[in-house]
Amino acid sequence: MIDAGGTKVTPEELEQFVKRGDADKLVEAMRSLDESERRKLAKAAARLFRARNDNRNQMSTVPFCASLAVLGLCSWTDAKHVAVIWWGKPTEPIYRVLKARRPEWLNEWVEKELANGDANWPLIRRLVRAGICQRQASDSYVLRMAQSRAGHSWYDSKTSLAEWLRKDGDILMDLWRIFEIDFGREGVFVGDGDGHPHSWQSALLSLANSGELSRERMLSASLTARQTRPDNATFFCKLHEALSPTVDERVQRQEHYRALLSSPIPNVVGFAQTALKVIAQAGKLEIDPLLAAIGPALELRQKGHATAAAQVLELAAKQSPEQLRAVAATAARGLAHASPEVQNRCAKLIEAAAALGADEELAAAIDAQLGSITASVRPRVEAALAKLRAGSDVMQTGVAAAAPAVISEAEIEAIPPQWRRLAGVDECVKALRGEGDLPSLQFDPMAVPRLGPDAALAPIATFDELVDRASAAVEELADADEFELLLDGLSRLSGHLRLDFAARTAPLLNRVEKLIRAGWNGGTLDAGVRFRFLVRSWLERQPLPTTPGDLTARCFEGFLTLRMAALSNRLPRDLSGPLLACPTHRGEWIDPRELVARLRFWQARDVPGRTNIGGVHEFSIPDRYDFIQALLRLAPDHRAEALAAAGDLAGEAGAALRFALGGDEPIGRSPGPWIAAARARQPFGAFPALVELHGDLGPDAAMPATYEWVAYPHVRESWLGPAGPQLQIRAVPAVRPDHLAPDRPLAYLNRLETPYYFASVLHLRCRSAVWPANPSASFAGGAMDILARLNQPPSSFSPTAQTLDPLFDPDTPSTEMARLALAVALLSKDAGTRGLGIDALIALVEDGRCTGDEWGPIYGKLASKPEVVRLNRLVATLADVARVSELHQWAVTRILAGTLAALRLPPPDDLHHLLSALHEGLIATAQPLPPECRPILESVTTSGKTAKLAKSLLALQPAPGDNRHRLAAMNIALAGRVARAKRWARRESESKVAEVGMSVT
Amino acid sequence: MSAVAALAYTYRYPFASDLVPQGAGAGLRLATSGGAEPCPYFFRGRLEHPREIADQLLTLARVVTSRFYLPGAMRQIDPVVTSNDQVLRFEGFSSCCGVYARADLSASAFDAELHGRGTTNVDFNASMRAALGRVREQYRVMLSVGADEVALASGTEQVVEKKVQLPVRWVKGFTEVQAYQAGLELKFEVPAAEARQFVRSLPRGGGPKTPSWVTPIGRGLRLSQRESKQAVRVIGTERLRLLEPLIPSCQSLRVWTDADSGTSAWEAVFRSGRFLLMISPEVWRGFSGEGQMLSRLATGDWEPALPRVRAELAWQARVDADAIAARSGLGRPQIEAALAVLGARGLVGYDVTEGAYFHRELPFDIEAVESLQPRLKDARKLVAEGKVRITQKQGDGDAMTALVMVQGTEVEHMVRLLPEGDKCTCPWFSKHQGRRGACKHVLAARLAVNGESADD
Repeated sequence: MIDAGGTKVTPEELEQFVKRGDADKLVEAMRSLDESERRKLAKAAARLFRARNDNRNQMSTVPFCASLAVLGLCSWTDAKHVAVIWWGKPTEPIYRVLKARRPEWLNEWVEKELANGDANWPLIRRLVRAGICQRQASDSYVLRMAQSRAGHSWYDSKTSLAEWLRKDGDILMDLWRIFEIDFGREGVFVGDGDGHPHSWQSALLSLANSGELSRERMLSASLTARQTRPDNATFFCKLHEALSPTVDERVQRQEHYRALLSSPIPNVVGFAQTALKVIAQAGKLEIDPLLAAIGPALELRQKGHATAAAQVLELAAKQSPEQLRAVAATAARGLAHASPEVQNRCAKLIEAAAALGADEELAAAIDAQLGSITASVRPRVEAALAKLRAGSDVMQTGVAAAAPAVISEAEIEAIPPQWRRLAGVDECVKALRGEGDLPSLQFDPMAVPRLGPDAALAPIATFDELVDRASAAVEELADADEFELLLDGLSRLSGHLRLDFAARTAPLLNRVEKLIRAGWNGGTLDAGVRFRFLVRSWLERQPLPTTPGDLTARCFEGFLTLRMAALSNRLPRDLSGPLLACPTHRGEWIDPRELVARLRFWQARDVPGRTNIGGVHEFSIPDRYDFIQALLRLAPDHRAEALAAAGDLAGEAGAALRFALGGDEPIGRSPGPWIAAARARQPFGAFPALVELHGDLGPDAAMPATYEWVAYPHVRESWLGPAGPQLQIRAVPAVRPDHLAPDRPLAYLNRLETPYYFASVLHLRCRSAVWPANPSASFAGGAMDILARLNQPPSSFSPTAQTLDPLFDPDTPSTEMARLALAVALLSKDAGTRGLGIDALIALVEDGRCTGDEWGPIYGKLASKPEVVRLNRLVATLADVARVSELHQWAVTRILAGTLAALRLPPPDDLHHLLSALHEGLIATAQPLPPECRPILESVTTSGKTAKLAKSLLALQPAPGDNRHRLAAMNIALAGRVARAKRWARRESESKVAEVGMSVT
Repeated sequence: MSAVAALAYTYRYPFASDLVPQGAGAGLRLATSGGAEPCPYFFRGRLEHPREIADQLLTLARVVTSRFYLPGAMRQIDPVVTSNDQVLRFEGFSSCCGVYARADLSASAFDAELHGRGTTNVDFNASMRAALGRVREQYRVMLSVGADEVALASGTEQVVEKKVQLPVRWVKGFTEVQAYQAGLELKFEVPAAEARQFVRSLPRGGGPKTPSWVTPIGRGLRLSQRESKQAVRVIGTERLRLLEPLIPSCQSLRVWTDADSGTSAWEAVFRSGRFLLMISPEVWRGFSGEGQMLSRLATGDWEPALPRVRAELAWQARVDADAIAARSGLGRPQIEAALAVLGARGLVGYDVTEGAYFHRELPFDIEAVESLQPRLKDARKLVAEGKVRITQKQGDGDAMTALVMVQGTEVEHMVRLLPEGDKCTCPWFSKHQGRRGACKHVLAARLAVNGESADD
């Protein structure tokens, strides 16, 4: 029993105090205990502390009282676990406990508390002021003081922070330490400095103005404050300016400003430059040390800061003309800046220095930057360089890419005329001679050979290979070719039953079961997920479970699912044979001769249930989907041979295939296969006979689809966050519900409804693989997907980039939908999509499919809606394309000019980005301003950057007779077109000797 | 081994590293901890190019404080420095284990008064880093690594003690990264102006989620999203932006790659030396756990050469394998294998420009780590428990093929040992196709076929 204030305290009573949450009684009970008495109760207190959270009532004061008991009774071993957080609990009982006890571990405990982000700084300050714990010297004490604004409450409307600090008195000396330590990643001054009386800036200003803190010292200390976090560092810059230093005070602190020029924080550099400008305007700059310090600021990415640095140099040159050469040598670093404006300012200084005569050192400094100089500044710098080199010739520099070898006439003549004409070689030769413009290359995709031996796909050869590749595919599958090869492998090799089948496939079955259990599979028609089910059905020799009809009927993936279902029905019946739709060549093409052979295989096979399998021609079985898919993948090559070989194929299937190959067959009774056959025969042709027999079948049936589109700027909120602008594309003729049937995949592709939120790379590639001859519908869907995520970062759940994949096949024509998908990709914030867009545009320019002239109307139409086209993003993206070669720069300039001409009035606010890039492009390519751009430029009546650039563009006159750039560009274009023509010619000759390789067994 | 396995480690610096005014210039004093002595002192010299070196040290500091992929409470592990007569090397490794950096400062970068030998940790505190940012080219800066006993005996310094948990995967990554360097091939070298343009063109914010490919364009480089033969694979382009502050003052940028592993290394060349930044094949995949060394460790052909090669190490800046071969009579492949194993034990590093290993001894308990190679440990366990069954074996040496059944957790896996590459039916192999080293089943099969018992 222990006497506490006249009453005895037992461990049981202590427990009662704690469990009742009676802090006052507890504190009173512990107040006069000596250390030995406290030790006796320590065990009980520690036990209570350990059990403090048993009561889950959030409002309970039991945990707080348990903490008090530990602080009042226990040793450091237990006390170190007590944290007194800043919020929610009264500090008075804690203070009384610690004051009464003054434990030997108190300083250690305070240090531990300060290390905690939620430290109760007012309590600690009170302990310090009362002398209960020692004065704190640690950085964390200062950090917590700054973070908590010295314990001042934001809601205390009566007392400003300055008054609060004055009341404390002693704390004023501690305030200087705020200037001395680095707060690291802690955001101490976020939102400070807005003049609010509770802000640190107001408080420090008030104390400096009243003389309680030295203003002089604060002026210097704010410049030497060490902060690595940008907003903390910016706070001190703002404080410095708020102290309103005079010019003389700034001059005295020049060295500090110069030191800040090396700061890694751009805002701090900008602040230092502003201060140095004030000093420069007073003519009191210390030039030499300034020149040694300011170089890195000229290379800052932020144009404003680099411009300010150049301005300081201009003032330095004005103040001290005798040091102009040294100033110019420093300014040479600014020639590497991406902005023509910064380069222009630096070039002026260099020109002034060059007027003084030769200077090899300066010339060498400029030489190092020549590769980065923009076209508008280059001639001036080159002229200055010539003067600096004592009159040597002007250097001939250009875009870094090596000029292509000029194609000889003999080389061109050697190409068969058919391919030369189709590849646009002749018109390019004319353009090279100056006999006309060079339009983008348009060609009939069915007139060019697609099947080369280099593009042939090797079918899966053995059962072991099938198991290995299926094992890899169930983990990750992103390639549409591999997907089809696997389906074909299952179709052909699943019947090869081996004695060790179960043992060999047990790991795969085990894995696929786990993946299906763990995955998000319910309701998804993603091809990769469905493939796992297919593998399981093969290994368990069970057909796939029926897929809900509404799912298969909703989208084109339903068609893919039905193909897999048909295959799974066949697997347990040991009916192995080739998959009709498996591509024989990359790009999802099927050699027509191969398809004829495959169909014949099935028709000839004597199997039970023949009507179901061998009777593809009956169209009464699920394999009809495989047949339809196969028709849509027929390559244009070898059709005549295939047609000749297909004469004996039976039934409607044989007739449909012959029709697809160009045969003269009457349209049959099943619309699905005949639509596919018609589209395979002529992707862009019209088939009135289909309408006569079956009525209106929708887009890409009897008539090829065309597209109408419009962009909407609205933001649609969803649970996934704000969506971007929307693109609405409508196929013409429009898709009606009665056009949608499971065997009409093109109708689903043309439905073009809401973009997917969750998709996979395989999904996008499978979409493009449905109809390789005309991926317009796939591009249209892709354009909608990309625009819906226009301003969102990359996402693994919603990939969009792979929509562009078909464009990397140089034989995919640049249709309107292809251009639209690419145009929106180039605007995307998603670095992956934008990057692939850049790659695609580079490829299109290189091989002739884009010369830039059709793009203006697309961007003009997109830009007619606010929020859709950000011209700064477009210009930056196109700049990456322009860097590749003279041809690319020429094409990009045409895109920019076309876009400008297509913009509607009033011009957008960010037009200056476009004008600046166009200005550079026209100078670099020595082209005049196209007349169609004049109206919009003449309509600019405002002042500022846009007006200045508009004026420059209107006044632009290319040097007469300067066609070096154009010639270089046309030579590259010619090389690209000749390469294309040669490739086609080579393919044609190779295919004449190639034998069809049957993979049916 | 659990994912959170860690070694307790205490840095005990006699003072905090700092940059202090010193006469007309400044003194950069780096505090040391660990290695051959508790606080070694082995370098003192004047920097010839202070700004360049400060930029390199700051970039190294950014690497060690960076984490490009989620977890780990660890934020900063101090860099280590290795000194010998010819070069001062600062090495650091990011907390996510996916970025390795090394600043190689050549002898010409200093006017050295003291140039000793050894490896130790150096304190890179926030204040010193902030001060480094203010170093200018015109400054006269003295660098000292450690301090002499007189200075320490003055008693005015405050000991800095930092207790950290070094995750085993971090230590393993730090050592295994050397194995990658030996496989690097130089792809491009571009001048500074082109390097600057390339680094500026890197995406701000989140880069692409899929791999990007750095391709040549004219004299420079371009980031593409399409794979090509000449291109270097990169994922996590934000990691490359660590180089941004270095580019303005560098002379050129070299790009190295190991196409098989997907690793790339970016080397900025300076007057004062070279700065190498090496990035892992994926943002979420550190260099640890890649298992590059596992097959080698499992074969054991390096074991006879190991003690001989180790005895030859004497803090060389360049370990001359030919000279060792001549002295020891060992074959060059054996020596290379032994050096690779020593690399995995933290006893040598690899200098890709020199194409040679250098001696340095990481001041951590590497042996404790090595014993935790989980896949190799599991493989030995499978052999010991008799879960490995050789069903077919033909041929010998490199032409050997074998079919081995290895009991897995739920099913028996079939391992095929083939000259063109081993195969297994387990999910690990199916997923990575051998790109991340051999799985435990392949290792167990190799052990069994080589006739190694579990005790070996």
